[in-house]
Amino acid sequence: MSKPVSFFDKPNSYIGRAVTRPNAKRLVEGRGRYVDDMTLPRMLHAAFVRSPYAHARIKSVDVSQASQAPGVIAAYDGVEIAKHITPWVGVLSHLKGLRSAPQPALAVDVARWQGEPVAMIVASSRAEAEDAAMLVEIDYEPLPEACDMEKALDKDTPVIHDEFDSNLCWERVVEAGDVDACFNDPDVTVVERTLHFGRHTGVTLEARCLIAEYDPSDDYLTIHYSGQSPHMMQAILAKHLDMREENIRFVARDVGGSFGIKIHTYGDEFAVAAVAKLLRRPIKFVADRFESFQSDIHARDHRVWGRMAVTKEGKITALEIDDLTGIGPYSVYPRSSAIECNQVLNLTGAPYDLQAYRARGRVVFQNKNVMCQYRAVGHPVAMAVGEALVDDAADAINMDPADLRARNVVPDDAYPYTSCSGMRYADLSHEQCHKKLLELMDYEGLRKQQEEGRAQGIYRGIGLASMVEVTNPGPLFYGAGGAPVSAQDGVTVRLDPAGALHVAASITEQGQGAETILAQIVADAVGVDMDRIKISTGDTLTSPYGGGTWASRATGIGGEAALLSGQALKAQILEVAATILQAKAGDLDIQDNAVVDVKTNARRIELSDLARTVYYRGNELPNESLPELIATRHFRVTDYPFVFTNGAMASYLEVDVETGLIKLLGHWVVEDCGRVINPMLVDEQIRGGVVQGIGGALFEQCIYSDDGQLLTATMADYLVPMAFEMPDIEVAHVETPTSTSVLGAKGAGEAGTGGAPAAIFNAVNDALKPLGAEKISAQPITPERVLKALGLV
Amino acid sequence: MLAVQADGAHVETIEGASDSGSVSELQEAFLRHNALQCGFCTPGMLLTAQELIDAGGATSRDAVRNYISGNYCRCTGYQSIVNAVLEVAQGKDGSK
Repeated sequence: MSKPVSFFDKPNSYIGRAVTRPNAKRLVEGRGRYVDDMTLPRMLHAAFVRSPYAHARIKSVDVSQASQAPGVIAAYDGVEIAKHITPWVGVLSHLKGLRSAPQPALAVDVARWQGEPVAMIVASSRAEAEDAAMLVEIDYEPLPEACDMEKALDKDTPVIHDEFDSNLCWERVVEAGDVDACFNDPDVTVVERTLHFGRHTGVTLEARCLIAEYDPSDDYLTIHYSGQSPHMMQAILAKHLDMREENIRFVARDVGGSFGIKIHTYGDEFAVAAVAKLLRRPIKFVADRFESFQSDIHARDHRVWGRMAVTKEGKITALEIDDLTGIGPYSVYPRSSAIECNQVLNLTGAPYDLQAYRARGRVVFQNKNVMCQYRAVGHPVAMAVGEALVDDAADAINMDPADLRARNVVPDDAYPYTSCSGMRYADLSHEQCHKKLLELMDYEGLRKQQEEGRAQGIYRGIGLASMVEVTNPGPLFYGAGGAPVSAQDGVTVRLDPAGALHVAASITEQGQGAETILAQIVADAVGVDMDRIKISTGDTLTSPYGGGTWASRATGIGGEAALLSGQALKAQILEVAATILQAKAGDLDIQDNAVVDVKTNARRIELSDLARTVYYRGNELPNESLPELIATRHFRVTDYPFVFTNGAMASYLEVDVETGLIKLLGHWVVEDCGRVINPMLVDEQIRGGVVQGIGGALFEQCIYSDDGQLLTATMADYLVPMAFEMPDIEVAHVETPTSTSVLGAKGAGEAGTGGAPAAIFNAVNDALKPLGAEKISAQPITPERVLKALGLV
Repeated sequence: MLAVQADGAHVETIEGASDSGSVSELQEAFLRHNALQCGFCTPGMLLTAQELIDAGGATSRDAVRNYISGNYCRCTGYQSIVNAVLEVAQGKDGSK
């Protein structure tokens, strides 16, 4: 640890304590401040006509009748909107070969997925806009569609973009060590499996929404926004509306869930911004659930073949995978749709000490909704593939899967460790996490229980997963590839005359507790009570410049900036106090909102008195003393491309072998997110994440017909986990602080989602093992798939 | 229930219940357990759970989980909500 123990071990420290969230009070009172709660004077409402075809030429769009409908102010087709918004291309220059076609805000000439916006109506109410939308006449010529990702690269499959020779968006190959020699070694057993991961989506309870408000007096566009990355949005909207960045303000107040859904460029939202400027009236757009399913980014949609080589003694030597993923017709702007595949290649088998690794990933275009980064990007796929093969390998050599993991994870004393494929890991704890997990769940006891159950025809399974996660990314993640995505974040702390601290931060709050974490850290760093801290986030006008919240980075990066800025402010305060008290700054400290004498703890001057002296009675200070009482510090991760974390997870479940239904009996997580700032908030992040992972593993799927019609576009068709199906989830920690920061915090927000499907897959297959079932390798694991594996249907 | 089905009915929103104090214990418990993150589902969860508590039905984890199913929460994973509801139903204080 680079910091003296004393700071983090101070009595009454907020860091490490399960304090409750001050900003949650208004939410339990129903006084949240979401976008749709706002009504602005002269505000209009937008509705969109969306393509009913997966692939169709737009021969004509006639909005004349719609324009005359009651309440309608304006109606636009894609051609008209394109005069005000330039198209974007979702590529990153550092992902070599990644390509995508220019994407217009509203479809022009060709619609490429069912649900793509084609025309826009602006009216006095959403109801009038929707009514008028039905009067837009569009002449489509249906085109042959390319929906099935597995056929996207076939010769006879239509190519979606004329400018490309195929539907290939990106391909990457990794080759490390002598893969063939490892697999051809006569002493190894090779196991092989192909896994399928269905598409699912975020289903944020608050749908995507915004109000765009234009002030012609200043040529100033304000976007009341529900999202995660205000500064990124400001940069890209300015670029494509041809405005200056400083003339656009994004401001997010309460956000009703995001999970990665609300961090991308959506044509409908940009159209709302452009038209608000044209009409000089505020426009609100709130997607309805049907629109959300068709146009919020989807995630996953992978087919991964893999094989693993293991010796009879239980040494895993090599891994090879081939990932194919369908991303819809465009790579999403500005983060691209290649990152998930890239993560699968980077992370599959990552917990293990391998001699050789080969991977190929191919990202293909298809006529379905766009796919992009959603919570735990790539991790659920990578972990499920790697962990399924580990279980297969354990079966093949007749070894307990817990033993095989213990023998093969990278040892805790091996760090810093560079994998055979060149990934650099530091400060991980697979061995400790695995061991703690087995104790926490009573692995031996559950195995016994499982055995007893089998004798009575009860089929229970135990699934284990060891995980590696990417958190706290540095600039190499996006910024280096040309995206206006900041990997650094800033925090400003200001002491006000009343003795309160105002904290403005560029990380954002979606309910995960970022503002509470900031308050805890600043309170400790300066020496004030948490209830004297006011936090503001989410506003490009008032916050320092930064990336926002994604990739499990808010606490690790924003928290470090908070610590550094708090410490800097404290140094300023002590400097002023030394002048006022005619003491040495080194003899003073701050405790409980007052400057105290280090030796005696005697209160020397209240912070409010000190601040009032500076602000109101400067005449009492020497002329050369011009205190600022405000400090800003920024932080980004250096030395490593990101801060890896690790964890271990287990699922215990029962399969009804007659109906195929799965009952989850227990779930355990041991996570190493470095220093835990707030154990309650981090545990709740993990639990919520696990349930989202379980959703993908067992329930959630965006199902398309062969011709690209989304069949699951309502909450009746798309299954989101509800309370009754979910288990209690026990969470424990190993704390290995990251050496990349003083605070030592790594990310934790995506861990649960990343590992849960792996544990569920393995548990289901473990349950069915005595029945000679085929291994289930496709998620969601529906009752039908269970019965098929059992040969019953 | 669709809004038109409530025609003529007395509707109490979470803001009204907050002002009257009828769900205050549950609100406190939600804060203590962090039984909310983004807060979007929270009004529905509170009013639904209060109904169950008032009817004496919050007798077990399964009973609570069953009753609040129908209200989606995308953030919490539900466990903390169940804990908060049971704590209030069983009249325990928060120092778990």
